[in-house]
Amino acid sequence: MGGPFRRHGWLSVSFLLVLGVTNGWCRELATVRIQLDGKPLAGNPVGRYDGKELFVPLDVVRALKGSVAVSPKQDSGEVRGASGAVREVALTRLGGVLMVALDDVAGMLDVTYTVRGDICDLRTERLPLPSPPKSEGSTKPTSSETRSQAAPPQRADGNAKPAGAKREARSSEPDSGRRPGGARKASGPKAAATELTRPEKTGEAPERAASRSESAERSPDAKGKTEIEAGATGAVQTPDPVEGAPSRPAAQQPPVRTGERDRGIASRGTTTRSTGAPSTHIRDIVCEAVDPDQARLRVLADSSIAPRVAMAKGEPMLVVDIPNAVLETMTTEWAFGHPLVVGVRAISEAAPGLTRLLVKLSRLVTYRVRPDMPDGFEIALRLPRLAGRRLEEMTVVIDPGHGGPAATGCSAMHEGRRVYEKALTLSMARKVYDRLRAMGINVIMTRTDDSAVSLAARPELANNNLADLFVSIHVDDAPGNPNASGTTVYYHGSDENSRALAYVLAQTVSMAGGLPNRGARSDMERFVTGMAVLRRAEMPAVLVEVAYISNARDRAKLVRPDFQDMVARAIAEGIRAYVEARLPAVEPPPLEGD
Amino acid sequence: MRALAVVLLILLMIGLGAWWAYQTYAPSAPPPPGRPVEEERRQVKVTAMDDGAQVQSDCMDLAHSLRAAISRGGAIPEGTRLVSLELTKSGVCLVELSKEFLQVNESGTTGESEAQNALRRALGPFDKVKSLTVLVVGNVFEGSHSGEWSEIPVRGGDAGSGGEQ
Repeated sequence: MGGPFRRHGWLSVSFLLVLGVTNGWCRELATVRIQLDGKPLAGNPVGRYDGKELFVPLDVVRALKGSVAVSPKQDSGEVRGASGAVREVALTRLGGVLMVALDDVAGMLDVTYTVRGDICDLRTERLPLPSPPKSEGSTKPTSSETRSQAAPPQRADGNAKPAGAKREARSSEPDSGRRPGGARKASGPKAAATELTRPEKTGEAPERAASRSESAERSPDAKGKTEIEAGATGAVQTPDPVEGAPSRPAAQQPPVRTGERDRGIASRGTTTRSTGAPSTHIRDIVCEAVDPDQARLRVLADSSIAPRVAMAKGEPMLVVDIPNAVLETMTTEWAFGHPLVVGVRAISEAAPGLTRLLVKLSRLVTYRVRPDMPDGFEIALRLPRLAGRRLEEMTVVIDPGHGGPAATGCSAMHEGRRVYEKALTLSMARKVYDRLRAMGINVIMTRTDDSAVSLAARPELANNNLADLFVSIHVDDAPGNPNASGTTVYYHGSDENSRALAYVLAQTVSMAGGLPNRGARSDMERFVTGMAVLRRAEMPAVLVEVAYISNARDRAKLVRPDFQDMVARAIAEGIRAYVEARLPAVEPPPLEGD
Repeated sequence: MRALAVVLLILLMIGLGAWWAYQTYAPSAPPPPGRPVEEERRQVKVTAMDDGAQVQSDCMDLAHSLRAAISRGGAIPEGTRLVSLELTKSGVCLVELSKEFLQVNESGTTGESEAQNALRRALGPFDKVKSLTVLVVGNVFEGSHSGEWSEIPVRGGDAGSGGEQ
């Protein structure tokens, strides 16, 4: 008897003891006496405080000239403030008394409160909004907490209600049934916890700048690359002297973050801050031939570099911009005998502190930048996917944008009648269909008449048919900017093959149509989540915005059948050029302005 | 030897007990099973604005910022009104707009992205908002280029940071 009892008895006793103590300790809410402007309230009401939130009996609300209507279940109530404001709040029963979280009603009752030890002091006078704690002169920051009516909107942690309080929070939303399920799925304790650990932000502008520069420097991340391309597209036209600017505020106010990326920013920040004295020294440029279809262009320097890379709009070359770098190479011209790369020309000080490399290509390539290598960076070049494929073996999905009675797309009046995008896109798509068929390509249309096709069904059709390419045809509209004109071709995110196809099509379509080439752009430059039809396509996919319906000149072209025919031929020729990995013919180059 | 084992067991029990208590009462504890999903969400207190918009009471700042963006016009169709606004626990701002907003789908990629980015910019400065869901007549709005506007991050990305011609 002795042995087993000694063992199990002790164990169970200690177990129960531990449970009891921790249990009671967790559940116990401190009792606080409530005072109003330093004087005890009538009836000496007692509140409960869990270290975060104060719960007060409903009598206190009434003492503050508010009224409470308790629901039959006694788990919620409608509080009406002195000013007439009404709010439904959760009620909880603590120590047998119905209580309400003072934070929920403090704003309507025009009170602030301070908890000091076991005394809660309510104050009815309005405090200056920006610095509520200061007016509480006697408050010791170590032992007290001040809340003011200015606080609720700032309460980022407000969604994590203290669990010790166990509030019965029944949704009072009468029409909550219509809310989308998707919007709710991420809610829950985990999400709340992540929010709580988010670093504090000092201000919006530096934060945004920090995230910008951060993503620009992040290398393997697809989004970071989008950023690089985004910046570079503009840089092709004009060397942008302020491109170091986004990272400058980040250097002055380093974001409160930890981890490797942070160090990257910090070191980068220092480089950027000293704009006058660039610290990256470019030593050499080499081309490693992996095989005839692949090459690696390496820029060797004394520190890591995050360059901005983009295809030049008018010329078969890659423009590489390296901020804060000086050229310390033996030459400024490199000739490579690789089938993909002709050579590189370096332009020192293309803009203040900016070194620009022009990589002359002999074929259409996809490129992938590996920035931030210890000794510079690398650009991997290779032929696009499908290169060398026989046209007869290919399936291309052509997607005329919009369609159906509701989805007309954009429209504009032209010579007394309204022109709809859905009609223009269908008309052009049909012509593309004919052209591609004539080339022997298997073509599938997402719609052949004015019928409604959902956004999801379009790429799905391409996926299900194992299509090799997906080309969506659209017409753009810039409300409020009738001058916007030209051809833009979007690709998703930073997909290399789609980007190469977009580059070719922007070139061929704009040239054939006599329109400004607005270039190949990532859809994420427009929408943070990208475009629906491109996002879901599993093959190289592009969306061609042929021209602007809002521009009178573009519109006059768009409605002409011969223009549509030229566009169709350009799209077909662009697809052929992509498959042959051939650089499209270029218009007389508007040589970059440096 | 036996005494040592008992002490170790007791320590283990203390640890387990503390862990259990923590799991049960810590703020991040999952809700007990059986409670409807509705209750996971933050208690919603609604205040009516002067134009009848039903706004979660502690999100008036969001509503004011959004209304300013809407009334600024631009890519947001004329006559669009804020119908309701709610912020879920996880920081998804559910914004219901009046049916005039559907005209966004008649304005091309440029117009649609400008409208979306105007709303994102209006909510971006508020740390409590992580993403944006736009509803029109009770359904998630589907942009004719960008797809459903459901849980669109309000910060980050390159969209709308420039080049909106």
